[in-house]
Order: sequence, then structure tokens, then C-alpha cells
Amino acid sequence: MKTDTSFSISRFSLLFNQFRIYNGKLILISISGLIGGLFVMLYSIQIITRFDTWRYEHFMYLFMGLFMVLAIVYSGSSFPGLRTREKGYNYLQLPATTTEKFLFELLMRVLIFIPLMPALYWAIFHLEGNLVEMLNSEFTFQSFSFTEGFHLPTEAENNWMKLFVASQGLLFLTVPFFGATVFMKQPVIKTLGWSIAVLYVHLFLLNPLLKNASPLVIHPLTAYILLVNISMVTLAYFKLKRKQI
Amino acid sequence: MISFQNLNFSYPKQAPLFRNLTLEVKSGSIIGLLGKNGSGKTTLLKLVSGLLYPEAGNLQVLGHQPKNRLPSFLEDIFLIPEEFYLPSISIEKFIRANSGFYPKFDHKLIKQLQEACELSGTQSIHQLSFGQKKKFLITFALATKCRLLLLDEPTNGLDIPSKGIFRKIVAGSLDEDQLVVISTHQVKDVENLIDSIIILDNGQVILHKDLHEVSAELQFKELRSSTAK
Repeated sequence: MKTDTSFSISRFSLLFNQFRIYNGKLILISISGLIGGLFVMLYSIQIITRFDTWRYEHFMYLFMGLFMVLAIVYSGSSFPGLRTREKGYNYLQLPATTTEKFLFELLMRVLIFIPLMPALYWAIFHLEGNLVEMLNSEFTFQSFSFTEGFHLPTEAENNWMKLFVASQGLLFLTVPFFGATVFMKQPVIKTLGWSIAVLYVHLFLLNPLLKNASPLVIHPLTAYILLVNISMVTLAYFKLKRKQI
Repeated sequence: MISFQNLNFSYPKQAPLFRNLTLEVKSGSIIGLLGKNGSGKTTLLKLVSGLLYPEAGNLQVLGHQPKNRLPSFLEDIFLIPEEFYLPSISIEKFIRANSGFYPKFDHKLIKQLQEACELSGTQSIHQLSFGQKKKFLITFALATKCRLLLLDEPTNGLDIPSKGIFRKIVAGSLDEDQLVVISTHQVKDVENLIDSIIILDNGQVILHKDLHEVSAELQFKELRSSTAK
């Protein structure tokens, strides 16, 4: 333990242990609430559409909407130890390196969300669909997966398009994550405020390019968005490192 | 243990608080940090603990630059601010969640101190009064066996019996190599506890002496009017 190396497994596991003790109940309640809420939402849509069969677009649009909202809220709640001055004293004085504290938040608020949220959505979507099909003869459930491509002419173009969409999705996690290190109070609202302004300028500048979505445009644009993601995470690290309270 | 050399510090858009502040403090004592409101007592504690960074000058605490906030430094220092946060879990859980970060944490001592403060491990922290929370945090800080303990207005919110308990547990739990800095307005609450004082005024140390030096230099005499004879 008496080491000043930038990363120690034992200290990292202590951070995890502290997170589990502080937030164990809250996590269980939140996941239960999310499952219940999603069930109710899916069933409500089915009632409104008179139990029309789901199509792939429904599956994906619903997923994208949920991903955006949940990513912003969840990732924007990163670094809860910085939300008030009093919490900040505890957090900054906790004997762990900035790297350990930062990587722990990145893991718990960004990296874990990427596989977990789609998996949870897929499982609930299918569970609810199968359940309604069993109870209601009007409804026919069809299974979907995230692996379906964009039906572009070549495999390479399909993969680039997937990367392009994924990198944009990642922005909904990395931008609020950065905002959580900048703003002490209400980071989600404040981050949304300035990110909408930035996004508006970007869309205004990129709109002519997006109209001609050829590989020549998609490749540099994907690289650019990935670079923005990396910049957000890197800036968040340095914000945390230089934090004063 | 603590060394300030020509340290400068100011808050954004405010007049400089410290200009060329120089101060040396050695281990093995309990220091009373005194001064009027706005003299910089809390800021000094924050600079020492690495929560604020100096603009210029050199600051060394326990052989570290506090602003680096390295684990070996943070393991050996504990600041109890005037206003603090404790999570809504039981005392036992809090100890389980945090004691591992402090290699010298003394589980036996914290049990003794909790008994002295009439605190039980099963009690939920959010059900405790402010004074009880403060006493718990002080017991936790003492049990970390850190070499430097910084207390900002520790007796605020404590009732009279609790102030007595505070003095008793602090005096009874310290090792010879530990240093305690107590920033306070309530000099009476700590006068029997401290063995030296630092007085801050306008961002400068105007007095830094052991209490026995102070009492040797200052005498209180009764003046009688000649007309009364």
C-alpha cells in the first residue's frame, strides 16, 4: 500500500469496495426502476399501436433514444464526490492517485455502460415481447439483434458506418463525463447547455458534408468524432488532477 | 514537518491573502491556529492538505508537495473541515469502506474512542446529530494514526460535555511523532490542550510561540488606583 505508483490494484479495489458500500442499495433500486420503467414503456407503446408487430426500426430508434437519455444522465452523474464542497474534501483527500480515481469513474460511468445498457435493453425488450405474445394472441413478437448492418454495398463500408454511429453514441457519454469534472452544481443541465450550443455549430458546419455521405467524408468525420471523444476524456483527467476546493 | 517559504496565495478576483508567508512547524505538538475572521486560517489548512495550490513559493508538508496529492501523503494527513459530509450508512460500514485506505488504521483504538463518545457501530450516520457526527469523524481521524491532523473549528457544534470528551480523546490518543493543528475562535475550548500558538493577521504570522514562552513573557498584574489607598 505504501506506494506512490500511479496505479495500484489494491487501492483500486478499495475504491470499488467503497463504491459498493456507499451505493449498493441505490444501484439495485435504480436497475429495478429501469427494468420496471422500460417494461411499462414498451407495453404502453404496444397498447397505443394496438399490438402492431415491432419492426427493426422501432427496436433501434427506441434503443437510440434511451441510450442518449440514459447516457447523458448516468455519465453526467460521474464524480459524485465533486458535487459539493464538503464531499470534495473527502474525495480529494482519499488516499488514492488521481489516475486510480479517474479510471474508476471512467470504468463505472462510461466503459461499463457501453455493453451493459444495450444488453439490458435487449433482454428486457425480448422478455417483454415474449411475455406479451404469450398473453395476447393479437401480438406477434419478432426477435432482433444489434449486429444487423446498414446494408451498404461492401463489408468495409458497413464497418465504417457502424464505427461512425458508435463514435457519435460515445459522445453522449464522454461529453457529460467531462462536464461532471468542470461543473460542481447541476453538471448534467450545464453540460447539456453548452454541448447543445457546440453541437449546433458542428451540425451547421458539417451539414454540407453529411449530405454527401460518401466514404471520403465518413472516414475523416469518424476520425474527427473519435478524436473529440478522446479529447473529452483526456481533458476530464486534467480537470480532476488540477481540482481545487 | 510543515514548511512554508515565501508563499503567495490569493483567491480569484480578490486581494492577495498570503504574501511571502514563511512558517516552520515541527512534529510532536498540538498547535492552536488563531486569528480573526478572514485572516486565512482555513485557507492555510487547505494549502497544507493540498486542497488549494499556492501561486508561488515553496510548501513542504511531511516531505511532500501537498498539491501532488500522492497516496503516501494522503495516508498521513487528515483534515476535518468545519462543514463536512458523511454518507447515510452505518458507522460500521463507514469504517469498513474507508479504513483500508489508511495502512496504520487502529481498529482497537476506534472502538475505545467510540465508547468514550457513546457511539455505537450499528448507528446510522444520518440519524446522528451534527455534534455526534463531528465526534465520530474525530475518532475516525485519530484512528488513522496519521502524522498530521488538521482540525478546523473542531468544537463548533459540540455541547459542553462533548468538548470535554474532545479534549480527552485528542490528548489521550496521540503519539509523539504526530502533529495536530487546531484552527479555532473558541480559544477557551482548547487552551488546556494546545502547547503552542500561531496567530495569523492580514495573511502574516504575527506570533508563533510555545505557550510556556508566552506565559513567561506576558505577566498579568493587578493595578490599584492610588486614590483607593
